[in-house]
Amino acid sequence: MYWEEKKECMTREDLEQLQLERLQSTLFRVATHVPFYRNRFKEMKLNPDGFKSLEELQKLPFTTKDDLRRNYPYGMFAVPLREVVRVHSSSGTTGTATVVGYTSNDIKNWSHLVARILTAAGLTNDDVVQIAFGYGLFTGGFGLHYGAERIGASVIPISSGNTKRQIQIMQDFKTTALVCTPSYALVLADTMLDMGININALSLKFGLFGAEPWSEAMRQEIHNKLRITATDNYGLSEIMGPGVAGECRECNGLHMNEDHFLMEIIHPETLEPVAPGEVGELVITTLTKEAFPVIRYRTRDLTRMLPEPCPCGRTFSRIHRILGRTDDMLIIKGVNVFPLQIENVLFEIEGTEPHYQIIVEREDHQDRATVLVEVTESIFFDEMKKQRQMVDLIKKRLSSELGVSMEIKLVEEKSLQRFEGKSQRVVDKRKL
Amino acid sequence: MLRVRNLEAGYGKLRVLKRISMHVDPGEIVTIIGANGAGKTTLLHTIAGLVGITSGEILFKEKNLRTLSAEKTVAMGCSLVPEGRQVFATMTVRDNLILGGYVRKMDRTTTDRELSRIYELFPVLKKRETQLAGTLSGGEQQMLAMGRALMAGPSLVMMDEPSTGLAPLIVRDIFQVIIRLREAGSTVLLIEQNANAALKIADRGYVLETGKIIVQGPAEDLLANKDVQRAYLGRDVAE
Repeated sequence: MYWEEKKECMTREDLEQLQLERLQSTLFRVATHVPFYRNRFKEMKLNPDGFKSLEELQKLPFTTKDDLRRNYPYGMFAVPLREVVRVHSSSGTTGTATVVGYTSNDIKNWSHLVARILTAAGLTNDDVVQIAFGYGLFTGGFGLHYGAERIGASVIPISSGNTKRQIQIMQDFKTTALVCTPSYALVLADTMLDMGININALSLKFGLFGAEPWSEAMRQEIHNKLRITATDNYGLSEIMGPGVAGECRECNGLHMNEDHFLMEIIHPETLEPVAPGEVGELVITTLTKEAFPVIRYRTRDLTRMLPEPCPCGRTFSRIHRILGRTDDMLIIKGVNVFPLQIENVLFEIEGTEPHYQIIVEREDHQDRATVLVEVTESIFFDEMKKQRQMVDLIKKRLSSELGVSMEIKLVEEKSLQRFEGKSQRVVDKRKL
Repeated sequence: MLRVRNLEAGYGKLRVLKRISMHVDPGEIVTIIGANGAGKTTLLHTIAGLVGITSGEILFKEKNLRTLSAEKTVAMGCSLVPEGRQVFATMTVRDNLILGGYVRKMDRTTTDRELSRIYELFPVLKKRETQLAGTLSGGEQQMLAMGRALMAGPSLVMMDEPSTGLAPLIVRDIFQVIIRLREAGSTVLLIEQNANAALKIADRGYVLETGKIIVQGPAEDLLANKDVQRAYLGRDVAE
């Protein structure tokens, strides 16, 4: 099941030729139309016409979120505004918002790339797709909407929020595919269980989740609670929105749409490429974007390449599900810690729920990290001894995984706050 | 089928092509559009082995064309239909065609079979078989030039401005033949000043400007690209 088999299964040799051609014309266009890149190339004494091989990629400058902010709102656009048919904007939760634009060709490509991901996840024109991502400046809702329409599925543009109504519509409209954040899928699942709804009576078969990092543990939990195939998809508005990469039915890593996006994985501090298979920051260069091309955009997302070929037949490289954000990285007692590492440890331990919160404080110039972990009722009300054993076990596993010790506090099931959008796992109370 | 990487070429000190990268996959119609003097013909002539390469590479069926002579390139299956037809005016239509198959060193029966294949594609050439090529109309000469290139049994046919100087109705016929060629399994690299018509029959296109490829992509995307529309499709985009 491919959407564009000729592209998705092309040989690496053909792909590299295509990437080179597209990168060369992208470089020409940004040097001609985007003052930011023209000046950057000039500063670096870099002749974009001299770029001859994908191996020279490292000579090109990076683009960061701050660069985009400094050029707010339209400074990074490569076409005049009258050719832009759509504007989206990032949430701005981490500072000034950034603005991205699309030409009609961009929107068409976007639809096709999302269509690839939906097809890879198993969707067809027989599916009824409930899109519970926000519609608006956020790219999630519209991106998946157009992809789903492109494959001919029936789209329910319900947007985010109003959980009871989501459930009502899911039952009445016989939704077969749910699109939302993985944490919201669990909110829906828990609410349905509370309402005493028979999950088996739902028509739901697929869940396509993205917009926040999640874990194998959450996939398991979603699978167990909703009885659906849950696949991961990845995108970010600065690059395009959803449709950058997505999982196939193997559920083992996300295929990057490499004919449209060139990826690198670098060390976030040295900025050098990491060895193949090592964890680092994902860096993406757009190859076909007309309105908003970016060169070596630092996504701040951490992942690693999965070098083995995928049994599904797609030749596009896979990345591991996002392991965290470079700026989620906590430095506790001088050690780099990523929240998802903690989640992975909890997944291994029976009796814990994949809901946790990390609280970091500083007392007498000493860092202290406490992990609040939800545990199943049976353990919570069990004898003290069992609880203590569990705390010790988590402590031991965490300190061997992270190289730093943390306090553990068990809390009752569902006592931690649930998030309908992106979840907030870390509370950093340190005043530095 | 054809893969060009970082090609630079020109005449003497004049560098006409600057870092051209492009490719043609089997069964595709690919078009190169661009203004006069952009380097379109030079690009075709460089691939055909008529102009020397300064740097870069041209791979045809995985073989490097750089060191091959023009006739060896034809023998490998890459034929050029030159601009302005250039048929041999004082020879008959049939002799022009037979000459086109020269590199294949065919025996008589194969030649006859190939001739009838060409006549099927261009019935008018059968009618004019014994006429001198110089007496044909412009459109008929263009068909003869195409037929002559096809006699070499090419897997890639390169056409240099086949619509030049022809009446609109004849141009339509010529483009119909190009579509039929592809249906018959040929691969076509087409250079056209009539960008609109070329993009309508092509799968992909490259826009050449002063020796550089400035835009490339699926033909329908180029038709919708505002820069391409302004510069090459003569469409007035309201200011």
